[in-house]
Amino acid sequence: MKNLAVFLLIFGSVFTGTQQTMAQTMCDGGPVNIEKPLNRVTSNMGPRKTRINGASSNHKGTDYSTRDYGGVGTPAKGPPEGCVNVYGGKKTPYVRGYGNIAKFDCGNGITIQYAHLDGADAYDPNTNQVRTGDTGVGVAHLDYIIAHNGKTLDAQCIVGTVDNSKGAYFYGDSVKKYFRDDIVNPDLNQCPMGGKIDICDADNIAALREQSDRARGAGASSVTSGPTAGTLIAGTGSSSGAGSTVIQPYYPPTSPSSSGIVSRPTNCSGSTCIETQMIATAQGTFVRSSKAKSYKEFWSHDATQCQPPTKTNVDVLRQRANNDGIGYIEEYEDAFCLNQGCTYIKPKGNAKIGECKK
Amino acid sequence: MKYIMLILSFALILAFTTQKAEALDYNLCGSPDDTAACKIAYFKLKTLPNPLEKDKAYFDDGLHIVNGKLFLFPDIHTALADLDGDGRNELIARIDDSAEEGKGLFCKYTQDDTPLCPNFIIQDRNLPDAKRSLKAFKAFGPIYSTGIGLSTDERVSGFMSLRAYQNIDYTQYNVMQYDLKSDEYFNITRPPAP
Repeated sequence: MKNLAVFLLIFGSVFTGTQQTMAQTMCDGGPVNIEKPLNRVTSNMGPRKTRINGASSNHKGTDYSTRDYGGVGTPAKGPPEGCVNVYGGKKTPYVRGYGNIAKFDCGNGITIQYAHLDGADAYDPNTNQVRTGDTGVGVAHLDYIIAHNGKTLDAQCIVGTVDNSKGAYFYGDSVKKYFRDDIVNPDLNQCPMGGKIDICDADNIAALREQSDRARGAGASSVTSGPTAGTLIAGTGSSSGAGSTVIQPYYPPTSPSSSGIVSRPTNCSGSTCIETQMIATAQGTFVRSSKAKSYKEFWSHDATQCQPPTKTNVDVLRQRANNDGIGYIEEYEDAFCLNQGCTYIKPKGNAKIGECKK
Repeated sequence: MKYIMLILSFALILAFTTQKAEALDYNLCGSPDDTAACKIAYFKLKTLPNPLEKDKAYFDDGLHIVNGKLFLFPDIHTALADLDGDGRNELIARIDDSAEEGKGLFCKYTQDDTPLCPNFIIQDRNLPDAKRSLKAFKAFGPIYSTGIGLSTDERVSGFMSLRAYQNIDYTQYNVMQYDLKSDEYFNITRPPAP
């Protein structure tokens, strides 16, 4: 009996300990300060011109120079505590174009990725560093991506990188002399909260996601493909064929309007969702809250909880799908869960709507 | 016979060059939730094999999807156009390599480094009153090109013909035509097998 008690005690401790380790994610301990992996940014996230006439493509990551430190083999800071290498251990597999990559799941739908690393075991869990390289496309550099449920966010707003890419003095023995960590990056002023932010705050994530939408809307959302002269080219937002409609993503304003406080009109999935009423602004139709008392409440919905699609949600999705001119499909419910960082569990039996589960 | 086919093809290309083409207006998707078109394109394309990644479906490359979970949304552009004149739009989806860091994952590159990226025509074939599913969406493609243009007045078997541009200034293109028998779009310079 004594042995059994000891066994249960030990087993219980081990089991509990394992559970805690597995469940521990980056944001469990409160606000998180993600450190920049390296110092100098050479290319920001966002749309870029491609060689395709009239088109642009989206640079998902933030490029950091490694040449300042000696190029291939330069160590860069790994992810914060609570992030797990999705490939396991020190593995950094090769993906065509991206070269060797490290990808970390930090919980709450947040992932951090490092590309163009130096070989297949370029992550050292002991020192929590990645070894940068020149695999994939391009010269030696580090491509750094922070994403939320698959959507890339502006990493500079999260790590607060000093972008001194326009400075031109980075080589030779006097490299350190020219590091300019004291420079305030003007781009950080453009971040939704006006500077470096805590990624674990759901409000900040929502703001960054909207910023990402706006960036694409401003530069890369509309891409015209095809001939450029003597042809019919439909403009953004207009009809481009019988019955066709170009759907624009929803862009809320970045600050409260002078006429009142606004809140999100749809996807109000958390328990903190607030009652709203529709208002029209120059930027489109938004919803004004009758209860929100501060700008903070503008983002007050909780995007991290897994709420199953309700009948009302499905009706909204159906309506939106009809407006899009394509019609409703079952897989919208998958997307509804995916958007919350969850997996859709298909309904069983007579149930018409399934569940979302982490 | 070979020469006749060649002359016929050449004549067809000449005929098409005199016709107007309509450009498509694309949206770049940031997530499956952006628009209905983004959702359908993403969920449909991820069921199709990527010819450039042996035995792997699109996006199942250890980068975008890992262990069935979406970690990084790919660059998908979508456009809508009614190709078969039935009053309902077809969805034209294009996958791009993600700028410089993802070169070669989805697109082929010519000797002068022009990207030819996969384009798909996705048509809703769900029956009225039946449960709607992605399985009932037909995907034509991949059509590798720098862009797709639509013929404005040319329909074969009810479907609008397409131009699949092969260079960045849109001076060279293949004409893609629908074939009722095989239920596929094919390059008219390379007709489908009888």
